[in-house]
Amino acid sequence: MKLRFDTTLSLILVFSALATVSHLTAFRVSDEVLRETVRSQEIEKTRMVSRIVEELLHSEVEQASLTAKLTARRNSLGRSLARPDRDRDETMQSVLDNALLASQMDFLEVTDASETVVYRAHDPGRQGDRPTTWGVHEALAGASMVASAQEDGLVTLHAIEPVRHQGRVVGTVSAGIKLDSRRLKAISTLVAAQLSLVSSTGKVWAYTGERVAQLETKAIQEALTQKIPVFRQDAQTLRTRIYLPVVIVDNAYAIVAEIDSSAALEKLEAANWRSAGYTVAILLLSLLAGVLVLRRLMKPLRDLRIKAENSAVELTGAPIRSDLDDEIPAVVHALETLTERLLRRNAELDEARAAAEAATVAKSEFLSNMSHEIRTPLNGVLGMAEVLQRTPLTTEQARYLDAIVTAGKALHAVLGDVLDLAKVEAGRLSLEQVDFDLAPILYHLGDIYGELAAGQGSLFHADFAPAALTRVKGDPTRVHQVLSNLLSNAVKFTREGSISLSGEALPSPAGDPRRWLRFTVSDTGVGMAPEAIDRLFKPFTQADASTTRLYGGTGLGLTICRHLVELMGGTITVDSAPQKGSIFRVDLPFAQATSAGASDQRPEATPGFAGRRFLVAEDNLVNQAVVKAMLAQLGADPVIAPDGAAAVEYFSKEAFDLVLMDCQMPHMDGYQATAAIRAMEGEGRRTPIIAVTANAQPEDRQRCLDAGMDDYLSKPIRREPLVAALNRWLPPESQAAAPPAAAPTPPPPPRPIPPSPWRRPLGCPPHASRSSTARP
Amino acid sequence: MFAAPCWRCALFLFGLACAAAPAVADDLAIPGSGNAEYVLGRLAEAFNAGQNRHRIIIPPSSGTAGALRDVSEGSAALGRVGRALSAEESGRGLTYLPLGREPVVVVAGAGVTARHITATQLVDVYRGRITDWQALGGAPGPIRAIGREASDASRQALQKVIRPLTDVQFAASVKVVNLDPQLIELLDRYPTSLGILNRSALAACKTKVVFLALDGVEPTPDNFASGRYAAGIEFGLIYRDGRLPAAGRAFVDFVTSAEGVRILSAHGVIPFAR
Repeated sequence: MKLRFDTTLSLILVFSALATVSHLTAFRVSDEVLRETVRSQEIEKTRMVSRIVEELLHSEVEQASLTAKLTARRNSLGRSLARPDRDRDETMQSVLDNALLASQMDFLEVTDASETVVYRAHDPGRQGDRPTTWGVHEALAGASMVASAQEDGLVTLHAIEPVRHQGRVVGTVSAGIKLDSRRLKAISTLVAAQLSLVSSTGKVWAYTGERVAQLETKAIQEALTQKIPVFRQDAQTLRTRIYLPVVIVDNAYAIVAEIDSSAALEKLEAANWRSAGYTVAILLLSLLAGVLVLRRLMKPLRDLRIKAENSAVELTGAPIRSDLDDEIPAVVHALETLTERLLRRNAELDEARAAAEAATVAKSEFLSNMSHEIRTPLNGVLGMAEVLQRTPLTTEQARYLDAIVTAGKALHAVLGDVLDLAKVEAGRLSLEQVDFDLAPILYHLGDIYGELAAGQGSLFHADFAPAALTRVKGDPTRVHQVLSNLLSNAVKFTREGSISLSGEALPSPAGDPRRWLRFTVSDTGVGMAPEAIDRLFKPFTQADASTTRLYGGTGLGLTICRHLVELMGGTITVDSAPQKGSIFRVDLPFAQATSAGASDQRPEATPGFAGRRFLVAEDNLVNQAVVKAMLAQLGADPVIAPDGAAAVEYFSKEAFDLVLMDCQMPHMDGYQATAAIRAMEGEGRRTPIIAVTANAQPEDRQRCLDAGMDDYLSKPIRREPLVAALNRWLPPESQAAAPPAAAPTPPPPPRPIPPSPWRRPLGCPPHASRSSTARP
Repeated sequence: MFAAPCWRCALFLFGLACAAAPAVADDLAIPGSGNAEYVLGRLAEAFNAGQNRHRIIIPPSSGTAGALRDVSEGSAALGRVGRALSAEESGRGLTYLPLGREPVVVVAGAGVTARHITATQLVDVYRGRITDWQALGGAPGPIRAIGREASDASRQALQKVIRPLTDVQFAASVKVVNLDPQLIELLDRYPTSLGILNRSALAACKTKVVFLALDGVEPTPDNFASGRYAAGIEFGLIYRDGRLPAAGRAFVDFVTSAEGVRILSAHGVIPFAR
C-alpha cells in the first residue's frame, strides 16, 4: 500500500518533528549541563585528591625534615663525625637505628664532610660510597635541603640536614622516604582512588592497583605541558582517569588517579532514560495536539471544498471529480475546476448575449420593417374606410364598414403594442420632455371611454382635482397611452358596472421639486385573484387563459404600461378581487412647465380647403388614392408625385400651400426631397411640409423635423389628425395668409376639447351612463 | 540660620566629589607564560600607578599553553605568551601582539664561579657526562642541572641554535620542572645549579644568579640585537580576533609608549618597533 503524505499528515509530522527537535535540543543542553555538573563534581573530587596527595607528600617531607633535624642535633653524632674513633660506628648505629625505628623513615644515613656515607641505618652493611642525591653538597655548606631522587627504580624524598660540631659542619644526616607502591597505596586509601606515579616519559614509578594501568603518554604530556588535570572517561568500566601534573619537591611528575565514576555515570544514564521517556511522551502529545489542532484548522478548507463542489454542480450541472485525499490540493483542485468552468460558462454566456443582442437588433429591424410594411396597407384600408364612411351608404354597408374600421384600428393598436414592447425590451424606448396640458388628455379620454363604457352598459365617472388639470412638462403621448390602456381594460372587463377615472395631486417627497400626480382607474368588473395579479405585468400574460378566450387581447398592454410608468419615474399598483373589480393607481412625477398653455380652446375649424394647392408625395398607389380622396372630401385637389424627385420637380414648377411628404420612396426619399425643397425656397419663404409616413416611432418624427419638415402624421392616416394638422398650418381664417413660422410641433393630441355630455354635473342627462366632476 | 547654605555647600561638594571620582577600576588579568611574567609585572605596576581607570594583574605563570587555553576558552581576554603563535594556533581565531624579544640565557646558581660554557658542554651536562663545575673552569661543585619539558619556549629557543639539545636524554640526576617559577626557586635553592631561561625572567631570582657566556658570547641585549648571540625568545600578548578589551588596549598603548619601552629596555628586552 502506498503511503500518502497529505497536508494534515505532513503538518502533523512537521510539528512533531519540530517538537522532537526542540526537545532533543533541550535534552542535549540539559545533558551538557548535567555532564558539566558531573564533570565539575569530578574535577572537584580530582582537586581534592590532588590536594590530599600533595599535603600527604608534604607531610612526609616534613616528617623526614624533622627526623633529619632531630638526628643532626645529636651531639654524639657531631662529635663522632668530627673526631672519628673506635666508638664512632657504635655511636652512629645507636643514634641512627633508634631514629629510624622511631621515625618510620625508609632511609637514614650520615655522610662526613667529604660527602662519603659513613653509616646507613636502613642498610648497615653498605658504606663508603657517595650519595647521588641532590642536597648533600648544599647541606655541607650549611643549608637545610629537601630533594627528590630517582634511585633503584623508585622515587625517593630526602631531607638533608647539616651536622655541626662546635659550630662547624662536619657532616650531614639524610632522612628519606620511598614513594613506592606501598606508600602510594596508603595515600590512595585516603583519597579513595587508584594512584600511579609516572614521569613525563611515561615511566611508572609506583602504582596501587593489581597491575600497571595502561596509561596514555599523550595525556601525561598534555597534563605536564598544559599544567592542568587531563580527564579520560571510560564508559565501559565507568571509571575516570585523571592525569594530575605535580611537582614532587623539585621534579615534575604526573599522578594518575583513577576514580570510580559509576555513581555519576549512572546518574547521567538515568537522566538520559528519563529524558528519552519525556521525548516519547512529548512526541505522542505533539501528534495528538497536531491532529486536533489541524482538524480544527482544516475545517474551513473542507467546508470551502464542499461549497465549491456544490456550487459546481449547481452552476455547471457537473460534479467535480477528484481522487485527491489531501485537503489543500483537493480544495485547490475544486476551486480551479470551478473557476475554469465558470470562465468557460461566462464565455458561453458572452457569446449567447452577443447573439441575443444581434438577434434583438435583427428583431428591431424586422419589426421596424414589418411596421412600415403593415402600416402602409393598413393606411390604405383605414384611410379608404374613413373616406368611404363619408359617402352615402346603406345601413348594412355602414355596419360592414364599421367592422372594417374597428378591425383595422384593433390591428393598428396591436401593432403599436408590439413595437412598444420590442423597444422596451431593446432599451430603446425614449420619452419626450415637452410642456403640455393634462386637461385635454383627460377630457379626451373621458370622451372616448365614456362612450365605450356606455356601449357596455356601464356607468363612467371622472373626478379631476384642479392640480390634475394643469400644464406640466413630460411625455403627453405616453401619459395618454398608459391611461388609455388602463381605461380600455376597465371597459373591456366591466359589463353593466361602473368605471371611473380620477386625478389628484400627491405630496412630493422631501427635496423633490417635481409635481406628483396620481391617476386612478377603477372598475367593478371581473377583478383578479391574487395569484393572477402577480403575473399581471409580465409580457404576453393575462389574468388567466380564459381571459384571452373571453375578452381577447395580446397581454402586452399592462407590461408596456409598467415600463412606461417606470421610465417616467413613477409607479403603478393594482388592488383587485375576483368579481369585485380592480383599482389601478398610477403615480407620476412631472416637471414644472416652462411655457404658458393655450388660453382658449378653439373649436375645430370646419374642413374646407377649396382652392388650396396641395402637393402629395406618395409612391403607394392605394395611399395616393386615400390621401387624394380625403383631401377631395376637404375640398382640395392635390397634385400627386410618385416619388421625392417628382415632388421636387413639381415644387420647382408651381407654388403649393402645403406638402404632404411620404418618407420612404424610390429614387429620392422624403428626407432628401424636403432638403431639396428647403434649399430651393431660400430665405423668406417656407411652405409647410407634413410628413405622412409608416415610420411611426418617436425618433422617426424627430428625424422628419430634423430633415426640415414641419409636422408629422403616422400611417395609417386618419381624417381627424389630418384635418387637425391642416388646420394648424392652414388656418381657415387666413387661408390665403402665410403659414405659421416653423416652430416646434405641438405634441399630439393637442386638439381642442370638444364639449362632452359626461362633463356635465351629475344628474344632468342626456347620458345617464356618464358622469364627471371637476373639483374646485 | 546657616542650615540652608550648609546644605547647598554639602551638595555642591558631594557633586564635585562624584564628578571628580575616578571610575571603578577595570581589572584585567593577563595569565600565561612565565617568560614574560616578571617584565610584564613591572610594566603592569607602572601602568597601574600611572592611571586609575584600568588595573592590570599579572598572575603567576600558567605557561604559554595556559594562555592559549584561557584565551581560546574565553576565561581570559588577554594572555601572555613566550613565543609567536603557530599557524594552527592562529587559525583558532587568536591575534598575537608581539611586545619584545630577548636572549635566552644559560644561567648558573649564585655559587658558581664558571662564566663560560660551550654548546657541547651544555648538552653533556644534561646527559650527565659533566657533573662538576670544575670541568667548566669553575670551582669544584656538583652541577645541579635543571631541565625543562620539550614544549618550553626557552628550551625551544636554545634548541634552535644547539640542535643536539633537541633529542637529549636527561640524566637521572637532572631535575625537570615545567614552570619558570619552579626553575627560579631551584636556582635560588641550589647555588651550583644550572638552567636555561630568558634574561628578563631571571630578575625574579632572589640570589645573584650567573649568566654564562655561550660559546664565548655574552648573552647581552646588544649581542642579541646584533645577532651575535642567537638564542632568544620573543613574547607578547594574545587575544581573540577583534576582541581586545579597552583595558588591554590601554595597556598595550602603555607598553609601546616611551615609558613602556624604557622599562622593557631596562630589563634587557628589545621592544618591537611599532
